[in-house]
Amino acid sequence: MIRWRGVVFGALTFLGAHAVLLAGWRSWFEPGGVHAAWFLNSGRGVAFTALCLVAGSALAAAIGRDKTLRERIGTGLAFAAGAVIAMACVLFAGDAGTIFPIVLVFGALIALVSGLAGAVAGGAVRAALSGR
Amino acid sequence: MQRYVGHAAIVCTCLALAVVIWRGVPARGAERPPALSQSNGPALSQSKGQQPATAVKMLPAGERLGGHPGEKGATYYALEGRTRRLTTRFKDAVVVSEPRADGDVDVTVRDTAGRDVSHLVVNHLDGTRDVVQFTTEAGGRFQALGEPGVKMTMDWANRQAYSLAADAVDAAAPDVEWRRGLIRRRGAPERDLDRAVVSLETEWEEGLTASTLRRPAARRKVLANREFTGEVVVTRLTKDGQAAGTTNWYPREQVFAWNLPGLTKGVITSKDLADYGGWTFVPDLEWMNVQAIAFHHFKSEIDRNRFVARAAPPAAGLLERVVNAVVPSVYANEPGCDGLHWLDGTIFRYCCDVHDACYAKYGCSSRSWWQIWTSWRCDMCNAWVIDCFDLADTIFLMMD
Repeated sequence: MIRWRGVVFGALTFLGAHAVLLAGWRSWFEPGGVHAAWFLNSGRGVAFTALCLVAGSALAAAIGRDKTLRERIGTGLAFAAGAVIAMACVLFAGDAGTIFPIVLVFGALIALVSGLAGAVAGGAVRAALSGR
Repeated sequence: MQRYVGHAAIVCTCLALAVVIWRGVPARGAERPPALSQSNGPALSQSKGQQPATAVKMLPAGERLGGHPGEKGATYYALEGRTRRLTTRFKDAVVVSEPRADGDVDVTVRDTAGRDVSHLVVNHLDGTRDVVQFTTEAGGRFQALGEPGVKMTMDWANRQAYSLAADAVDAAAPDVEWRRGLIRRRGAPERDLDRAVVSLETEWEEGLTASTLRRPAARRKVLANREFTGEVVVTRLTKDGQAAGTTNWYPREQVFAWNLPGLTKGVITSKDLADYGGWTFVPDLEWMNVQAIAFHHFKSEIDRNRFVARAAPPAAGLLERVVNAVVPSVYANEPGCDGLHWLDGTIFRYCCDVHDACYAKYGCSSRSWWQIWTSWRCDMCNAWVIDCFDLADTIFLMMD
């Protein structure tokens, strides 16, 4: 079963992080740089986006009704899938570049790791708060 | 009676005809027809009578021959040929070679006190013939033709000059022979020249100088805390007197690592070269110097010339337009890793630059990723960059 909530959460989180990147690209993420605003074009951008994805996935897992680790991993995967879909949309909306499949693989790996880590952590926090 | 005689005559005639026909048809595997032998007759007899025949060297079926064992390739020799001065330090001598304007090489052997001991000149007559002239301070001199198959580089010249000096060859009455690619005094003991070299310094064009020496075996933590126990050959590269990077060769572990800050950094193991037959030669000190220089030279060229694709997208066909309606076209091509500039300062940059150069050469665009039927050359560019990223990823994880 597709966990649409996780997918939507993932997509919205990535788009939100990208909006922040757009706003602060020249001032903070790549000051003095020449590249387009895209999280994989800057080390700070990668760190910021990964943190956002971890936080978003944790939130999705915390407010969800996942009880088992398996369900949390499912939510994490759905979240990562949503983030990758949004990532591809943003990438193709601009200049994707000559190695965009490799770029997507890198982005997907970051989304996958962040999504799983956030979901597991968020589920654990929820379980601890609810006394389970 | 006449009837029997007539029958016998017919039978005999048939038998005779059968024999003639039988002998006229060549059996399988028999000798060539006389006509073919006759057509070659004059040439064959000429070669038999006038020119010495040379045996054809046959190879067993299925035997594969390697390229040129020990050869380091045309690029290597082209780079080596741009050396301005090569200094080889031995325990008991310093040998310096410099190219002349005409391409010949002058070599001077000095003892540890700095006194000239002997001189050697390599005179490149043409592409295949060389003459070696050896002169001692005592005034003796001899010259000899080069040996076919011996590549007379400056490094070779230094080794040759040192060998003749160390063998105490009497240049006025030389009693010498070719032995393992070097002219040696007849009866002189074997010498491990590779081990006799203490250090080697290559002064190159563009203000580049590479200096290589051996460091003795020791336990070393390198490459993500892997422990190496053998000796290490270290090259230090300078550009206009300023440090420009280092390379290390670990002979026991068969690992070559390099770090030219701002240009390139990486490591190659024999496992990485398995698809190419491993290390097809033993990296020596001269190779180390040339390789370090090559890293700097070629990487600087890539960065300076910015190998990026400039080809305009060709007119779209119907099928292409349909595909583009689903997946938008992307043409962007920037220096470095497009969309992945975070990795521009890493070993991955090399993959991106070569991929950009490949795209520029064959007029590819990003569409070649999904329109694989448009150009197999572009497909090769893309397949190569994936393989490069895969290999670079392995190297990246191994590095400190």
